[in-house]
Amino acid sequence: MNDEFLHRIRKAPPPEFLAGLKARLDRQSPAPAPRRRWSFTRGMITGLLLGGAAFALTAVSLTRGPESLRSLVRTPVEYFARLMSGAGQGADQDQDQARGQHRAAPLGPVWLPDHAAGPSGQAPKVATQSAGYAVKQDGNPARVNSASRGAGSVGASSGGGFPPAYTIRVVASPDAYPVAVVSTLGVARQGYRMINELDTGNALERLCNSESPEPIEMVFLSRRITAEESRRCTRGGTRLVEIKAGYQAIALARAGLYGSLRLTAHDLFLALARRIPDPAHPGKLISNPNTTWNQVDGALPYDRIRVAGPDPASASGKVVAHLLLQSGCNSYQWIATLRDSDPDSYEEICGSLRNDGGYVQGYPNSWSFSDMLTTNPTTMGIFSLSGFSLGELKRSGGNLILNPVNSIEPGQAALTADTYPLAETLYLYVNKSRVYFNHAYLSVVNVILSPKNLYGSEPDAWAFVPLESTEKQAALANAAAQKELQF
Amino acid sequence: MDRLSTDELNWDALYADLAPRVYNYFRYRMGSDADVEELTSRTFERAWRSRSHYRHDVAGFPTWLFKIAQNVGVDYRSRLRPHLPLDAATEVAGEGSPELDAELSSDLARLAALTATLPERDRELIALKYGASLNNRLIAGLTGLSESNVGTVLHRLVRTLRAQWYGHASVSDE
Repeated sequence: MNDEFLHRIRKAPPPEFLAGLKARLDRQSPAPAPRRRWSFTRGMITGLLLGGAAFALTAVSLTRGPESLRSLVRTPVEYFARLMSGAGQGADQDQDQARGQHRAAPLGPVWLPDHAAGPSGQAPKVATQSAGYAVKQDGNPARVNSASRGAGSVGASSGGGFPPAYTIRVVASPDAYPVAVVSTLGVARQGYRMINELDTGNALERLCNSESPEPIEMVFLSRRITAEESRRCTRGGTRLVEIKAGYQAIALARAGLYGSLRLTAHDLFLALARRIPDPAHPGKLISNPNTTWNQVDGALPYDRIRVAGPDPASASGKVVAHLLLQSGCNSYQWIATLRDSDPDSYEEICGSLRNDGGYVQGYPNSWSFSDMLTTNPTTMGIFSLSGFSLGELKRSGGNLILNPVNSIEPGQAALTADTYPLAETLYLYVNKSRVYFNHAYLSVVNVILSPKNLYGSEPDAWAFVPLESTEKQAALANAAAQKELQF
Repeated sequence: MDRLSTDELNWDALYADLAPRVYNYFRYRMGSDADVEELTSRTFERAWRSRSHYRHDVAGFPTWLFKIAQNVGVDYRSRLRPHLPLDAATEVAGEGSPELDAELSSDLARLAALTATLPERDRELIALKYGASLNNRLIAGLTGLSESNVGTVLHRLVRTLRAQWYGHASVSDE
């Protein structure tokens, strides 16, 4: 039955929504279990069974039998007799001691240590191994009920039941956050727990400082850390592992009717940023006055600037804003320096898309997006440079063409060579001593490097491009060997 | 899926598996993305609050959860104010901006327009089969139809929808 057209309408829910709902559920306590009513039949059967057992015990105790059997029957009888005659526990204990017997330990929850790998990065004691063993005996460490989790974190796994050796804490920068949120679900499917937090500016401090009150095991960044950051981090003896985790990349495409535009990253910034430097006073910002491409660059055609992409308020839209604008934004030296001196202003200038019609919301994951671009040949569409979106382009039957930027065609080769301006490389930074005994570590790395959605092999996170296979093998080998970062 | 008791359920794995299914069930059932997140949240919150009432000896967890989802959907639809018929929306699409066109002529809206005239039962079957990706046995348990009846009805529905989707009077069955 050809029902593919019905399947393809499905889409993965936004990862932020899934993670947010899960966090809300984890904060709620379940209602108490309903009390089972005893039916007449069940009461009758239970009564008969108890009566039968009492009769059998009495009969056996009155019958001659082996001494061992009679003593087995006698023991509870004597115990109840002592209870009824008021014999105290002390007398009972004395009797046990006199017999040299051991009492069975009371039944209770399985003991688990509080810290498998301490925040200071010390190697766990023998108890850690026993904790891992205790959970693994069950055969499935995920079979632990959910519990409440601390506020401010987002994770797709259950709370208090996981021993620390099965939990990993990751802080992600805003651009890498959507990928990290998706990964929490993948990690949960493997029976581990990933606590995922948005970077509020002190991620590296929490990763590197052995005395941090909120230590973490990993940081997920959309850039490589600088030599200075690395030096600061390793000064206190912290050993860092750097793992290349993939790329975030977008592509521009439009109908092939008029061919592609010769665009640069600088042009894109001048066309799409909400505020741009005043041509008359380059140190001053003005609202973007450009409405046609030839106002941005006289060599470009007299076409209205109209670029369609994800909702700028969504997580995907924020990634798009960042990728579209940052490279061109940094071409202004005075703005680039704000990145360190005034990060908020930098983010406002280099991360804000215009909202006066130059950038419009479209639905890049829908088939109709391609149709819309075909019927509006001067409108530029933004696609995620992942297999899915490129597949969409192919399915457009050649009606749409990819638009190079800085004369570089988007593709895996350009990503690997780090030459394509609308892309960035994602990195994981790991505190080596904190993951040495952590069972979740390699699982988390594996899931982040190979995200899959529930319906196939495409990554859920829009704009995320996984490493190609040889790069991925190298990254996994690096993660497993925990090779230390050297600058 | 094995029928595990409440204590044995791996809630995280179930959430990872079922949340996208419930989400898409509502998308297909409502014919739009509006309020889908709200309905999905309502379903899981209701299920979570009463998860200790789940009887594994009566039904599998997905069946129990989708029964809640169905009830949430019925409550929602009964409180909705009357809207313009969905196929009226497609007539408006031509005069909007490109982004409005994109939204209204999306595949989901197209499906909604095609299924708008179908009986409730058939729309429910489409949503359970293609939105929630449930097998015919589970659908039978949720709808009260027999498993073979579910298969037959779905086959007929898909054939009709495919013909309308591709704009042919009749399409040969593959």
